[in-house]
Amino acid sequence: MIDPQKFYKDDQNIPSKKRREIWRNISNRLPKGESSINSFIHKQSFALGFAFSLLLILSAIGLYSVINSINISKGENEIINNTYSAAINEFERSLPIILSSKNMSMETSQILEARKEQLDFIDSAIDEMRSESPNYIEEKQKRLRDLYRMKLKIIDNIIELERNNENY
Amino acid sequence: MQEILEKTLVVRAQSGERKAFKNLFELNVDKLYRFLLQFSRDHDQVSEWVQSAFIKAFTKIGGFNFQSKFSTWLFKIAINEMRTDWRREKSKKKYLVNENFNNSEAETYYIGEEFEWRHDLHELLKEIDETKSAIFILFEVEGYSHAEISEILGISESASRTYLYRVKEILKRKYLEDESNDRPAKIL
Repeated sequence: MIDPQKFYKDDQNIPSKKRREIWRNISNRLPKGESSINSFIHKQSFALGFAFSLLLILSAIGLYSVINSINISKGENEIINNTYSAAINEFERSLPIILSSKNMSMETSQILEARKEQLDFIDSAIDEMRSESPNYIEEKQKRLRDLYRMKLKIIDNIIELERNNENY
Repeated sequence: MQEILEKTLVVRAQSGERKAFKNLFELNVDKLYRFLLQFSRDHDQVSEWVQSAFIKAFTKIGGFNFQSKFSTWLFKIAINEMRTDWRREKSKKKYLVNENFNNSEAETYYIGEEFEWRHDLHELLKEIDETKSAIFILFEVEGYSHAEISEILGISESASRTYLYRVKEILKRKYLEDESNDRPAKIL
């Protein structure tokens, strides 16, 4: 191989002035659109990326709020239903005394039987509902509350029956 | 190292970065200019070829697929620019042409002993066909392989080998002739 320094004559090397001049001419003749198109694409992708990130953040905040509210409502509903359940248990403790009482009129006895059937019906409905869907569903908690309320009324009615029977 | 740098610059230039393209210009302009100057004494004409080559390279750089070196690709563009220019000047009789070669000649190719390069051989190089002299310079001076030369000039590798062989034979003959002419005459 021939050494380029030996091959090329000194006057064949590009003078720095000529080099600058060539670049200036090239630079002036380069299509301007190319870089502006690219910069537009970059700006557009940045804007899209930014918008997507914002959407993602907002979605995350929304999701967090929903989960949080579910947890809160779950907590509140459970507390109410547990209170109902505890109250019902307290009332139910006194029920065997009433149910075993022999000194009651025929009419009271019939009403009592009807109430017992209603209680059995509500109990099976409560059991069924508890085993069905997850506890945090608000609709389920509402229905449970209604059933508890209904059961309480029936128990209250039975206790009232006993009081009336005693007076009688 | 140079190749990695060049590839990085090409990637950046492909994304429209002018500064990277200017760096590619700085890396290659010297070699390209002095190479093209072997085919014309007119510096302005050579400057025009260089400019056109770089502008074309910039506009087409998106399609550059790294199958070759950037400089190989650039030399190819520059030579095509030079050829187009010569074709435009119809008075110009000599221009780089593609010839068909008998491959058997390339197979029996043999390069004789090396000879020392002298500046006066430039004149002889200018007298021979541009394709042959281009192959000689690209191979012997710029260090391109025959595969790269075949890409730059659009000829086969075997043609490149054969051309180089022929140029060397011509130069060697000339060299030896001059050597014998320089010897002092025998005193009878």
